[in-house]
Amino acid sequence: MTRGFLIRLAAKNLLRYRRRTVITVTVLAVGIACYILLDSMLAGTRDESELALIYYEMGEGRLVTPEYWRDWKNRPLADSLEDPQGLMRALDEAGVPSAARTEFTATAVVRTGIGGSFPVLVSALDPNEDRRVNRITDTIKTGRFPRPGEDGAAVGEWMAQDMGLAIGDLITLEVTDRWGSREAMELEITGLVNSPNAQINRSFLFVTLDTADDYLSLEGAVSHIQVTLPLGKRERDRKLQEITRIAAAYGTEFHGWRDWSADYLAVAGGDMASSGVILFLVFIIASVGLANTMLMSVMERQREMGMMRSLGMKDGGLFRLFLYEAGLIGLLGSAGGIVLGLMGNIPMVRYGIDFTWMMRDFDMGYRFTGIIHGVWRGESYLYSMISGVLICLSVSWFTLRKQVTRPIVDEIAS
Amino acid sequence: MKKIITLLLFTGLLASAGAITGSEIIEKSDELQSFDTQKSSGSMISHDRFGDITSSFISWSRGDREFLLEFTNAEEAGQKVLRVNDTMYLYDPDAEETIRLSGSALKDTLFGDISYEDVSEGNDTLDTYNAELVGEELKKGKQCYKVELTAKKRNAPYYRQLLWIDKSTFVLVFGEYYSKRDVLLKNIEVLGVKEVGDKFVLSHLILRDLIKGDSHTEMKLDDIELNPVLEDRLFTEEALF
Repeated sequence: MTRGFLIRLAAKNLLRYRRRTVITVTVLAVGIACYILLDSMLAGTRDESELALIYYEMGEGRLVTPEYWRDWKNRPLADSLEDPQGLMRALDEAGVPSAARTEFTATAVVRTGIGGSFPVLVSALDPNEDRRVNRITDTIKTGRFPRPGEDGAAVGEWMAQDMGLAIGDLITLEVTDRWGSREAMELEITGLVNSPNAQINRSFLFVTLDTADDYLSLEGAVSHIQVTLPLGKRERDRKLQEITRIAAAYGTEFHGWRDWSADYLAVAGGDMASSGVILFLVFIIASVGLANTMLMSVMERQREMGMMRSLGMKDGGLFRLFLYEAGLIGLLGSAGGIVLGLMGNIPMVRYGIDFTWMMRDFDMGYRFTGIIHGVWRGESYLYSMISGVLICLSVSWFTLRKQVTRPIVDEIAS
Repeated sequence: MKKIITLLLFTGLLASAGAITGSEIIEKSDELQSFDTQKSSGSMISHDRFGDITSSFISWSRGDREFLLEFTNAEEAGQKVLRVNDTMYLYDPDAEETIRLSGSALKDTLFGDISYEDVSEGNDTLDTYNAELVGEELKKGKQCYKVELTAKKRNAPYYRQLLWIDKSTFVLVFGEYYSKRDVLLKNIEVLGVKEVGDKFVLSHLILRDLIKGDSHTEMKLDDIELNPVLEDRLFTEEALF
């Protein structure tokens, strides 16, 4: 029997048992659509978080001393960069925009509002210089960035709301200076920052480089230099080589933003893996439904199968007939799922889903602040189509391989 | 006139020859509180606007550079803090892992207003500070030497300290700790001292973080054993597990 005949027969069989076919195809389609939408949302979350990390927190990467890099999570100011200006000049000459920053941890003590103390991450920067690399100075929602020489601070807006802080309030930072001696920084709140980076809004505080230098006895040193890179891959790779060469010449190391964001990447990687788990669960559910459908189909059609075999149809042909039926179900389910996924993804890409209520209060490591936009990921549609058909074929193969080889007499008598 | 000046100078020299210096006071105070080994048990009570929290502990120390503290209260049972020279290790039995602390992390809070550095600080004050006797005062009902310590090393935890030391026992009565910008950061008040042999141990004290302002932490030592025999293994990372 020809393949075309078997495929036409399989299609007719599916139409004969229309309700069962529709239910199985629908289950598969809904599962695949859910996978496509979840994958789109997670990929969008990852993309937006990465941009927020680069533009508002890390730059494309940082140059630090090797000693600082080894212990960077403790922000070891003792291992700060001694000659940031020389290094930045060299980067400038190579056409790499850079900005010096000093990052340190502190305990913030607030006496206004609800009062109390809480840990903060402080980033010291020169607002004019920092604009060359980062966008954080453009995210002041109320007030202004502190001016050079001013004992002021701009704080994340969410943190300010939580602590009842307003512009003009005083905040004290308990810090340890570069040499390990304790110091207290008395700062006035000059501005509130609301950036697209949730971590900044939640736990960051910004001061000027000279304020940090003064209180932390840095004597011109900074913890790191942030750089930005061009977009084109070739130019980017060329600049990266330049940066690495300059970093080595100054006894420093360059580490890209991914090196500094291992915790975030672990979270994002875990979530992307979970979308794979969801796809797996979808297929498990679909497999059970499909196995049930195929078994029912075989059991109900025992006499028909016996008749066809007695008329000369070979076991292989019969087996292929059922495989084609399963393959068609897989094809229809996958196609339906892709159509549903495409339709659902249009508003997700255009309008997004507002998760502000969740991001405001829960720290999940992601950097986006609220609205997640979906993205178009061609590969997830391709995976869905291939996986949908393959899973249907393999489930049918396992389910039917013994059912279609019973003796003809038994089948006709059944 | 010349005779009068000579007499005054001579009297001054005599007085200075008999006077004790700030360094001598600190040296004596450190010596009275230095032991080869020590084992003690006690409790730390943190008082703040949310109420009181109490933790109990056992601690062992050998010289200035080796110290081990193990929490014994139910909530933190088995958590340990080990200092060996300038490195500290934290062990949490629930996480079954050791965290190594160094640098500024030593300033982090161990309990209430007490930092890891506070509990493991050695009695080597004059290595880090210059001491000057700035007066004598009645403090907390005791006649005290008032000694000012100024950091001679940049890594001193506090830039300046004012200490009131009991004239009769050379034991600390009260201390104030200042930053380089002369901000009063912390103070310590000694409420109880135990005499063990010819040594003194601060057995009850209160630490106040004056920046936070609304909290203080009390530390009490109930049982103190001086110069017990301690195994070398006690002060190793392996012993934490």
